[in-house]
Amino acid sequence: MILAVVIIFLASVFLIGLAASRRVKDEADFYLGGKQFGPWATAFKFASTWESGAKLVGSPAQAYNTGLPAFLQGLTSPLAYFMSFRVFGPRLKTACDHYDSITTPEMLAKRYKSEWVQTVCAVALFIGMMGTMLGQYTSIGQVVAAVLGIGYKPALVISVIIVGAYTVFGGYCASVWTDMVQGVCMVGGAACIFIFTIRAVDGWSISEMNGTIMARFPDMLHITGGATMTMLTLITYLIIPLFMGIALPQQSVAIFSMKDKRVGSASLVICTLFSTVLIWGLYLAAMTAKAYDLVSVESTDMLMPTMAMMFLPKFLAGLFIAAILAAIMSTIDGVVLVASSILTRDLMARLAPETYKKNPVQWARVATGIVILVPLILALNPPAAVFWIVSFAMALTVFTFVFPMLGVIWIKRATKEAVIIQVIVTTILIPLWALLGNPGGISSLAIGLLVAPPVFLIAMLLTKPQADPDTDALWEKYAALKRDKSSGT
Amino acid sequence: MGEKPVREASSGCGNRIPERRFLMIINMPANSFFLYYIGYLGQAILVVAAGIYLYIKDSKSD
Repeated sequence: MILAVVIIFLASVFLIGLAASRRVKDEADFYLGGKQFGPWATAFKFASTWESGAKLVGSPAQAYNTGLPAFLQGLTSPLAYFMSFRVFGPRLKTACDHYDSITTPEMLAKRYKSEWVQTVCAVALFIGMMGTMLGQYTSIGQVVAAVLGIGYKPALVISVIIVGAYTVFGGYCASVWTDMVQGVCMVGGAACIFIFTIRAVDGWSISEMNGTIMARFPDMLHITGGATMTMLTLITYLIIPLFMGIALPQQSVAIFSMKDKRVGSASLVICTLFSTVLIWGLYLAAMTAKAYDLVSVESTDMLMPTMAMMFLPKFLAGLFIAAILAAIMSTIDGVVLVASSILTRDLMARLAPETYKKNPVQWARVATGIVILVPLILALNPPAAVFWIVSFAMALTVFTFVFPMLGVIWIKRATKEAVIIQVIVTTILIPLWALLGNPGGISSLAIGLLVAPPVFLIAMLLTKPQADPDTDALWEKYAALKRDKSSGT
Repeated sequence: MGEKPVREASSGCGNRIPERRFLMIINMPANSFFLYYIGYLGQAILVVAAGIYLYIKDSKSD
């Protein structure tokens, strides 16, 4: 039954992708779905991509092992959604429409009037996206292998074929539609695992659970897990998500593809409710399991699948397993499309424009296929370098883009030299830091947080912005947004 | 914060564990309660309320 539910889910997303392929007429449809998505599609796309497989597998495992500090990674999610959709979102959407851009490097190139900006950003983003994909591929291979009882390699290939097929054919539209299905599975799965787990404990309450944990594992309820986490790491985890809307291109694309700003207001409500059910459902279930010794697992990464199979009726257990796959697939499809758009819009369109223009949708599909296959080959027999890349991919992406993008929406004085210098510094420093084993216990995320802002700001102050009527026109549109906001129109 | 070492206590397994007293709310240290529970849920309530308000305001202006 579990296997049947998982197979039905995988077949459904594949068919949804094929259906979406009929709506793809041009590259804007392929990469942005025609920029016509309403609040539910936008919210589920945004939240499903952000709440990756790590949230359904890795984070509950961390909650089981270390307790409350596992919440840190999602603690500022509501505020992060507000920042993404209402603080950054309106100007980001305005800028995307103003520059008529599809990719983030393309937008940055048009804002700073520099092809060098596009090149360095595209390289950094591609490395970051490949690293993220390698991490997600490894996760999905391991989970599918454990659930279906097959080897890692066939599990990986099957999973990648499915997510690859619907993404190649249907592009962004397929990723949005499948993310809606996947989002429902994720939220439903989290709610079910929580309800059925607490039902396994007589007289469960949060207070009772805490009392048991305090008696047995008091550090699990300590603010930093009994000093297992440094304050710098804690602060990093709280700050980074606030910038996900502008610093992670796979998140920004959901804002680019919104119909209008009203969509943003509704989306932030839906995203907040989505994450609340997900985070609280899973973490409380994991901590309950630890408090009352409900499960015994060799690897805590198998905690959630094991709990699903133990506590849930078979149909719901299948749904939960599908939810785990959904979470990983929804992150993969978002990242794949961003990486693919770099190959087409940021490279091919510049190096071979005539060839590209003849059939951009076809080239988009070819690029998507390449982006799907290359990490697959690496993930089948991962060399040691793969783990190194995965360790810094997120930090590289976030700190490459956060200040250049702030220069698109807030910092008019930002210069192309500042962008190029900061991107080059973070692209070299962050991987090097990870290679050196995060000296001093400072993570690559933390080093990015410490280095990127001063490098950007100092370079900006030492260089002079060029007069640019296009940038002036964009800032006039921002002023109009502000006037509309204050007049209530 | 609200923490004062009192005395060592035994776990009953021969290990001596220093017992720490915290200000407790629902059987957890108050600082953790405020950061994780109130911090998240309070945030979520405010954001949802703000989102609904802004949606209604944007709808009226269209």
